[in-house]
Amino acid sequence: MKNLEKEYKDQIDREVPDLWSRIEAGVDAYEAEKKAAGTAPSSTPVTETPTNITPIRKKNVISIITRITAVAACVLILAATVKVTQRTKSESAAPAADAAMSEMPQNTNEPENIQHAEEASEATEAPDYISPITEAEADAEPSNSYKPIAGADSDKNASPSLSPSESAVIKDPVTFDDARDDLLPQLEALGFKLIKDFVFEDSVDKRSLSDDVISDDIDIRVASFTDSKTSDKYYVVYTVNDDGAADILIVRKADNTGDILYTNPSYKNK
Amino acid sequence: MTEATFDACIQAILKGDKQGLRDIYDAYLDYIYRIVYGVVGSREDAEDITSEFFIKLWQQADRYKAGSGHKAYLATIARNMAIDHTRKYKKEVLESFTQESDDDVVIEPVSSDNTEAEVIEDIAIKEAIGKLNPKEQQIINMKILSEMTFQEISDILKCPMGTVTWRYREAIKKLRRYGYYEES
Repeated sequence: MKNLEKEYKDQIDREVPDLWSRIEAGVDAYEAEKKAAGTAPSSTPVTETPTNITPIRKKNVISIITRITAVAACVLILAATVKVTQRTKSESAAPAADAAMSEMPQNTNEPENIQHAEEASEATEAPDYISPITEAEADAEPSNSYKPIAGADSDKNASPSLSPSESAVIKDPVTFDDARDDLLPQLEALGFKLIKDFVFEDSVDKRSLSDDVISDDIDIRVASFTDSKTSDKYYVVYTVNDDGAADILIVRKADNTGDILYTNPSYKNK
Repeated sequence: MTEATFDACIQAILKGDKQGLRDIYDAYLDYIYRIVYGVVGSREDAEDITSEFFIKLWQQADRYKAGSGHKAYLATIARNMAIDHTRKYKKEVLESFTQESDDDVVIEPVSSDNTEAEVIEDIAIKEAIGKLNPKEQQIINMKILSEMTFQEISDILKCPMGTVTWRYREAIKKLRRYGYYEES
């Protein structure tokens, strides 16, 4: 009896051909292909010439640049997403006014756009701070419109007779920040989303900015700001109502055209 | 070849020294060829796959973890390469096993002629193996040459393990007729 396993294995072993030349050729071809591809073989000897090292460094540098670029792209996308989210939130706060006023800065020569904004803002419930621009309230006695001070004629038609000295009794904003806090939401409702460089203008001719649109007897203040989207500068003429809050009277361009973009109907000179 | 010697050969390969590969080739060419042949059952295919095996070892030497049992490592790679080849080019052979149901297996009664008492013919092992049917040859090759377990053979052939073991026993019985016995 013969051992099956031993006999069979021995038989196969006797048939094994010499494959070394094929294997060596395959290894050489693989190495040549690697060098041609410009990549460093994992088995590159340490004693190889520096020319084999250069591609490794280049590859590493490219890899680093790729990673940095990817990180930068991620940061940009994140920043854009945050910006859009913030904008969406503010839009949802005053949808009607925003929809109507979105075109205003681009079409500055047509004050009629303001009327469209007023009409549109009636369509939906608007925040309190844009109530002065609603038509219904413009016709009626505005709750936050200018009222004569105590002792003066209670008839609203008599208000223009107030002297500037009397109007000076109107309460000023306590601080710069108070007035700014009142005005910014109103400006935002009027379509100015990206406001920067908001400052009070003490040196400008306030009355010329009112342009006879606002009654002379109303004490006015002026501030300016820049729309960061268009880089246009605007003046905002405002007053302080009985409650000590700032109300926007006029918004106009601070350039040679001086286009008026918004006039508060509650304070309009009749 | 010891683990330390093999590890040294791998290190030589990693440095680009072909002698490392040559030493492994000298030590394990027969072993690898046998394993591959046991699965593919063809000399030509076994030569191709064995050559590819050593080239692959050169290319992927950095994947070997030192001291992890190099012989089993080599055997696993060789078996997988052979199985992949078989699945790719000889699908029909494997499918013949998968299509076979247990109903197709006819257990031949072992007559007195099939016992050890029968006359033993003294023929060469290759001729004796040639007397087996292809399915029995494949199982004998995988079990003896490729040193696979019945479970591994069953998985590769997608054939119930009971069928595999039954075919193997039948093949062993046939080989006894020619004077070959299985060392248990």
